[in-house]
Amino acid sequence: GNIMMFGLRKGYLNKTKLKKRMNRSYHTAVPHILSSRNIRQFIDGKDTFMFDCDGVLWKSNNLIEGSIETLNYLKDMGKRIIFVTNNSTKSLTKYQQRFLDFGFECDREDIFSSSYATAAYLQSINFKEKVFLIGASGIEEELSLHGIDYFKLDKTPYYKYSDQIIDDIPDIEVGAVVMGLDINLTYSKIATGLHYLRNKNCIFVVSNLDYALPSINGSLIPGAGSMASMLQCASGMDPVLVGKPGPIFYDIITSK
Amino acid sequence: MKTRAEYAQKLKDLGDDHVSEDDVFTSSYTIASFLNDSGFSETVYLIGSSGLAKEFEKQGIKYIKHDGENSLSVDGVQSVALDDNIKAVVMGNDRAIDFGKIGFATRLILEKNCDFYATNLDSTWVTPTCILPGTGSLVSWLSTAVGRQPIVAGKPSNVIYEILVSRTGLNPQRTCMVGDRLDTDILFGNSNEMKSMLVMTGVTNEEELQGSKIVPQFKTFCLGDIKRFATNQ
Repeated sequence: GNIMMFGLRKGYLNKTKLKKRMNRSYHTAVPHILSSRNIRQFIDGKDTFMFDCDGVLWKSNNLIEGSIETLNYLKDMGKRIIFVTNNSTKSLTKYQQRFLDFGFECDREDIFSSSYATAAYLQSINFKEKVFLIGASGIEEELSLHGIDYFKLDKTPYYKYSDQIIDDIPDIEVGAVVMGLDINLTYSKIATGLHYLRNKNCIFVVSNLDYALPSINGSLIPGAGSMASMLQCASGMDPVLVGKPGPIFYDIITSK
Repeated sequence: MKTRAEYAQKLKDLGDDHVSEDDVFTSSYTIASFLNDSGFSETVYLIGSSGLAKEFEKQGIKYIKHDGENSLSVDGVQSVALDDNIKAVVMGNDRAIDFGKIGFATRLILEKNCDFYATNLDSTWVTPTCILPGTGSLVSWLSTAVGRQPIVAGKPSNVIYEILVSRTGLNPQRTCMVGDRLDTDILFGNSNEMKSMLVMTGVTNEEELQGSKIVPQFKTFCLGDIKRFATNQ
């Protein structure tokens, strides 16, 4: 459908508009504590509930107790349930299957991952060139589904000499360097991304900037944002942010 | 990264007859010396080259380093028990950087409140044929994840300045720092009351110099100009 691009030109984020949108606050300064006294008012006044996934529904592979029961309850009450996750590692199909495995049925149309949003964003700006991707299979699948041509480096060897890294970089015209979470991130991948970004016509897009993620035991581990910061630092370029809290994700969801 | 002895040898091979190991100050030497000077007696978690590790060995500082066989997987990072003896994370340039190393260091800093040091923060590493990510870009993976900046050992930090003064007894007002990078070399000279000179044979070009707030006191094309002008050639 038509994507309402809120003050966006191809590849560039309008920072003033982003700031204004982020500073708008519709809520009081102190949160209301949810209880049985205000629960009806909380539920009845809303048609749609948008849920983040990691740390809300589950932690890594472990379901958080009561989450699925709440989802099914709200669904039975006739509420629209939408999932909005910055996690770029899985495709929509995998997410849908995961919900099913956990006991909740939903449509692919109700799930919005930053992997999906990244591909949808590129499609919305009529991106017809090649993408160099540093990320997981989630973004790969969504790029393929949206007909966007991409390549990535899978196994990068350790190079003793720096010049060897450059010699091995594919001599291809790249229109965008796209980054998401990549647990197999290596120096060579960042060096390759830097090489392509030195072309002024190449844009830099990130699925999300979450600096850290909750891990199984409750501690934090590095997130996509910390990885993207390497390329940000080396290139001196600020990336276009697709995921929360940027406006692009919101525009993509509301346009559907 | 080379050791001080290796640097001195390289200069000797190029024809410098006067140089010795004591004249060479690397950021590895600096961070190890700084830890020793401040009475550090525990274990360090090291991310960096074998040169960095060699310096720590030479200065008698205990360290743990992951490479190859003992590198951690994503699951390993989350489940491994953190050694209570590790009190600091030290990061230098490591082209074999991976999630295991950064993840382990993230947990040490956030869960064990370890001190966080970096050898330097150069964002890029410029070679004759290409521009590659520098140590600063690699360090940003960790500093962004933990929401904290490291104490930097190298230029333009005053950590290396203090080490220099204590080891060489130099008088800053009668010392000139010569370099090619504004945000490390020249900033280092200027902020420590030394004289500074920029050469144009490296990273900085005219455009960058015009646009920068960091102003070197002197500027010349290359190092050879000093002798050429002095001897009127």
